[in-house]
Amino acid sequence: MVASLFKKITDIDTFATYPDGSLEVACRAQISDYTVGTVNIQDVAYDENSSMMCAVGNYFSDGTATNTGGDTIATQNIPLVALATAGATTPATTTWTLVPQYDSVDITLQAPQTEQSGLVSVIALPAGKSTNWVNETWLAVGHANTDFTAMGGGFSAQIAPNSNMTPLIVSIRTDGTTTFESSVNAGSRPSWAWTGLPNQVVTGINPSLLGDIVYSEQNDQLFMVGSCSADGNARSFGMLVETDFGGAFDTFEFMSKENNGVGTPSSPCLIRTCTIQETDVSGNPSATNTLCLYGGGSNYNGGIGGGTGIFGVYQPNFSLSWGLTKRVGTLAAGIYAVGGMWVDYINGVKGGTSDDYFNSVISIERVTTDGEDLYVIMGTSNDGPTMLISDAPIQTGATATPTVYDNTIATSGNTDVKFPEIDWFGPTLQANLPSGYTPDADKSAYSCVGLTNRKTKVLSGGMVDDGAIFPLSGPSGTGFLISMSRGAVDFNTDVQDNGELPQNTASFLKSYYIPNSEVDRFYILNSRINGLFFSSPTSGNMTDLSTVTPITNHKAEAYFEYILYDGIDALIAKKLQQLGVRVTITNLEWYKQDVLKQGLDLDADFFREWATSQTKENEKRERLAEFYGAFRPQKRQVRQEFFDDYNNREEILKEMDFHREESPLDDAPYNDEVAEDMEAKKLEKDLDDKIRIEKLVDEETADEDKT
Amino acid sequence: MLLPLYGVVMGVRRQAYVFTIADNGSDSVADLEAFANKPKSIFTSNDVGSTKDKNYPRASTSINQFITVEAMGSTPGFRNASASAWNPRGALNLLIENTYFYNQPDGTWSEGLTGTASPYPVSVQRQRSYNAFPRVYFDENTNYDVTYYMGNSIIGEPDNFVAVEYVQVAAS
Repeated sequence: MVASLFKKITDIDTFATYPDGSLEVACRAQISDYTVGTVNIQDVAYDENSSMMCAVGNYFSDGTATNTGGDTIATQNIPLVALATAGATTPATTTWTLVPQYDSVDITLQAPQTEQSGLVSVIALPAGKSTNWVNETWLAVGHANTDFTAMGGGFSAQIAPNSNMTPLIVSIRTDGTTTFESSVNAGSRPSWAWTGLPNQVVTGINPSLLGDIVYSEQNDQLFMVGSCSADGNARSFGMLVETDFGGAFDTFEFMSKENNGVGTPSSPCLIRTCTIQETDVSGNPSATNTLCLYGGGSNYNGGIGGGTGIFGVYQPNFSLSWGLTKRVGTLAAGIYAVGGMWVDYINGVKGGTSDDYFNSVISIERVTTDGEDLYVIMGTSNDGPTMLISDAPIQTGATATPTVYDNTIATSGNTDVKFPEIDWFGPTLQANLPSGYTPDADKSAYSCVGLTNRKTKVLSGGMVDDGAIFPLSGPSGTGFLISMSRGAVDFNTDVQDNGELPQNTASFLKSYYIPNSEVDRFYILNSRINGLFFSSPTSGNMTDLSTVTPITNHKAEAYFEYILYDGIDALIAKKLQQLGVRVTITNLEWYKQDVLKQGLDLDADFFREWATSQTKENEKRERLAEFYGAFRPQKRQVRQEFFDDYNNREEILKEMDFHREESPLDDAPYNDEVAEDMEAKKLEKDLDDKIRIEKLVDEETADEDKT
Repeated sequence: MLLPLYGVVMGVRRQAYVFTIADNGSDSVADLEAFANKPKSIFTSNDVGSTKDKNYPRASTSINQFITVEAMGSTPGFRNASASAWNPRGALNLLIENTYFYNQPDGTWSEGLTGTASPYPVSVQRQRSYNAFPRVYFDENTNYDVTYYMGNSIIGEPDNFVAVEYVQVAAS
């Protein structure tokens, strides 16, 4: 069996091939403070209901922008919402509505600063499902530059390597309007007002970064992950956030989870990715069985590597009340090789070493669109990009003998997390990277999408900075795109080797499937992890976004060659066949010449057959034309001119046939028979005349007697 | 100077028909998938005997026509290909009225003349396995078809994820 893979992309349509792409052009036209070539898209989400696409990221402001308070904003990155409002899947001609989030950032760029202000993740809400976000179509998260000391009492200037950032949440509507929440002076509902989740102490902890967001359709709530830091020192933590909307107050609640140790780490502890499942153990939708897998990296004690990857499972309080504790299960705490899933599974079950442990979990995606339902857990390791793939959904239950799986997380004691089928693909992924793409520790897969029709997967990734989500500077390198079979058995990198991908320095690629596409069209996002402009390309197309069609370029051909003998030649061909002579042009010409030499000594059946066949053929054509609803031009009489000389020959030929069949020994025709016949007829006529005359005479005589 | 060819009668015509199916983005994946594993007419891409969606009937010779098949060939490759070296495992067959020209020895249906036996295009490495093509004639008033059977799906076959269950204890 040949696995379904794609090997090539075609019909590439770009949003922003510098400098003439539609997004770049729109930025120049719509953003007065835009610095040419700096638009940088980090995530996209396509809304099937409106057929619009929302891209989020940032651009570099030239320092001339002002916020709604009239303050001039210093040169810095500005979070950007870019809506493709028309023709979202035909990028070259799409219409853009750009909404810079000026008010989300502090007007002065704070220090230390290791993150860019920007939006890094966006989701499309399912149409008609949400009450709490009834007017919103998309929700995006990221972070923005902020001045903690200016926020008032209780906040100190940041020295943790999370930099001076505040979580940023933007709700987006199809009409291009947005609302945001970030902790800046001019902001509304700042995150410093976020409260702790039940039983969680968050005093002195500042939420700082957001990396990912998922929507709970069963509960109409949100779950987000990110990072927070201890006020005034270098300690930082992963952050888990959920909403408590729809009550008396719409609030965000958070807790810290894992940390970056007790040393002087140069990078923060980050939880950067999450996903969600909302079914009971029988697979039925369930509001009280919401489980979220999350992942990130701890940078524990100042060093990334050897198992600093964070992995866990979380049950939101909005799904099942936490009671007096919490419902969070740690699968890997990010504290080197002291236990957890990296040690227990990658080493204990799969035989990997500490160099194979996850340094960071960069992305967890649940891939369902190709007919499989899998969790794809992607990240970094000392040996290079690594990956776990598990059947979804997982099952959980309080650890016991035996464990009863009920898809809840125990509030006390441990929880058994059952991966129905799971395998580790670290060495496999590293061995199947594109030619010349070395499996370094700062590279990871970022996204995995399933192609609905082809029933195969696209794996894309590139450069990673384990210590930041959207770093100001980062490692140099390019992204990669790999074709992976649905069951992760086969890999192919032909598309990379063909040099067809959009690439920039310090970039990574993500892929997003466009729903309802007969040809499995998908977006390729080419994003930069640092502040490089488009003027620093390495190879390929310099574009932020493109849509492509995956193909294999497989081709099969069939060839059929024949000779068509028409009209009289067909009759001769048939004659040859009857004679057992092979029908070839040479043989046909030979036979034709032979007949001609005999002076066209053809019998009458030859022409009678031809005439009859013409009539039948015409009738047949008329019937067919009528049957298919359209009369066709009547077929020209085949070789009519050839037979013109013989139009009156049939009678003659009949006579010829008659004579030809006679034997020379037969008696000659007896001419007197004709004469006698003529004589008999003459006598008969004479007799008739005589009788008629006598009859007339009798009638005349009778008339005279009357007078 | 161009000379008008009025009145020229073409009684004998040598013609060739090249059929191509390719996964190049022009056809939907569903259409590509539907092509595999069944004999398809190279004239209409339809299933054998079907005139679905095509505004013309099955190929046939008229009463004044006689066809001799001169050659057939298809993309070579018979054995199942690897993921990186796909081949169609294709075969051509002739259907005359309701009888296939190539049959199994026991009379049952055969995929036909494989592309390996009769490759197209012919190259130094890919030659026909015989010199003279079998005599196949389509007599007048005969329904016929040339079918192409592609054994390997052009987009490949999806595999399934197979792994082993694992339980990890998560600390609270």
